[in-house]
Amino acid sequence: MSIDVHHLVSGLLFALVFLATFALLRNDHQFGTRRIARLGVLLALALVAGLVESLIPGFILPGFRLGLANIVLLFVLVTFGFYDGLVLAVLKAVLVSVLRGSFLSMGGLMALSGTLLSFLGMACLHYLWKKCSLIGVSIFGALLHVIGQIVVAYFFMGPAIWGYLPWLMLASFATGAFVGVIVTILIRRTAFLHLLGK
Amino acid sequence: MKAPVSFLKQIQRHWVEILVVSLALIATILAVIFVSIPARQKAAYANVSIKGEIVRRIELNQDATYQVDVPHGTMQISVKNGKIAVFSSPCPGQYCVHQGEKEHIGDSLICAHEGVAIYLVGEGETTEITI
Repeated sequence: MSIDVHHLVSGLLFALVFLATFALLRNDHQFGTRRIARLGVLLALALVAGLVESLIPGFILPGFRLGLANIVLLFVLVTFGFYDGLVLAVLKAVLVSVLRGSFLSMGGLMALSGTLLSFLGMACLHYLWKKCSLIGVSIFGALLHVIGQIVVAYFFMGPAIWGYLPWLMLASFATGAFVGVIVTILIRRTAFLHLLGK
Repeated sequence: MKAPVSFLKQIQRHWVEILVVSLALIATILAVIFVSIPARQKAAYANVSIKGEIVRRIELNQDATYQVDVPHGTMQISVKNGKIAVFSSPCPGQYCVHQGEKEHIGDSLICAHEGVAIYLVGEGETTEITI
């Protein structure tokens, strides 16, 4: 059982690193200092958000978080596009787990799969359903985040964890709406960044 | 900066999304309710009490037929496949017979005429259940 989990996990990790490298080197974006600087600042922001939110205790549900780092990810997705967002999502998930000391343990892997699933889902929804508001995208992302986490937790803890999923999903409607509202406000206030960024 | 859009306009613009999100929310709430209902466990024993006193303790893991003396005669209780049922009773209404088979913790078979109550309990529970 445990060997299976670790194979799965290392496969996932390598796929991710590959994905991030691919996204970083995409040709249709210039690989210039401006983009590197921008990604660095945004990554720092996402890391700080992720670390700060890990200091907030889960009030009622253990494992419940606000998803502050998701604000940065969604903002980057909408403002700077898919590839920048993907790079940030992978790096943020890996680095936050390294900084929190849960790298390659259950917590870190849960965060990694949750972040990636939620980011890819949000990107799909955002590009495929143009009329969907950011709040809807964010709620969808929050739901996928929880699902991705629980799927990884299932490999470690067995089927008993599924009973916990509905509670987290219920909470993620609220946190998703919260993140969506904040990103909407952010986008409205920083619309000029779109002109500067590219 | 965009001109502010009225609340109604926004609802009109995003009605599909609002519908989908609320349906998902309802589904989640139903799932939470479903999860929070504890699974009913099979009972291990049945306590037979007459007028409040436990007179017999029946194991449900072996099939058997029991005869219990009740005020107006004899009540016959059968256990089959972990399910307990009253199949004969001297009472006029025969309500206890018509209640059929019971198997979960917390279930009960009541015969008011004879003052008989059969409560199904779990492995560790030895005392009677207070009503």
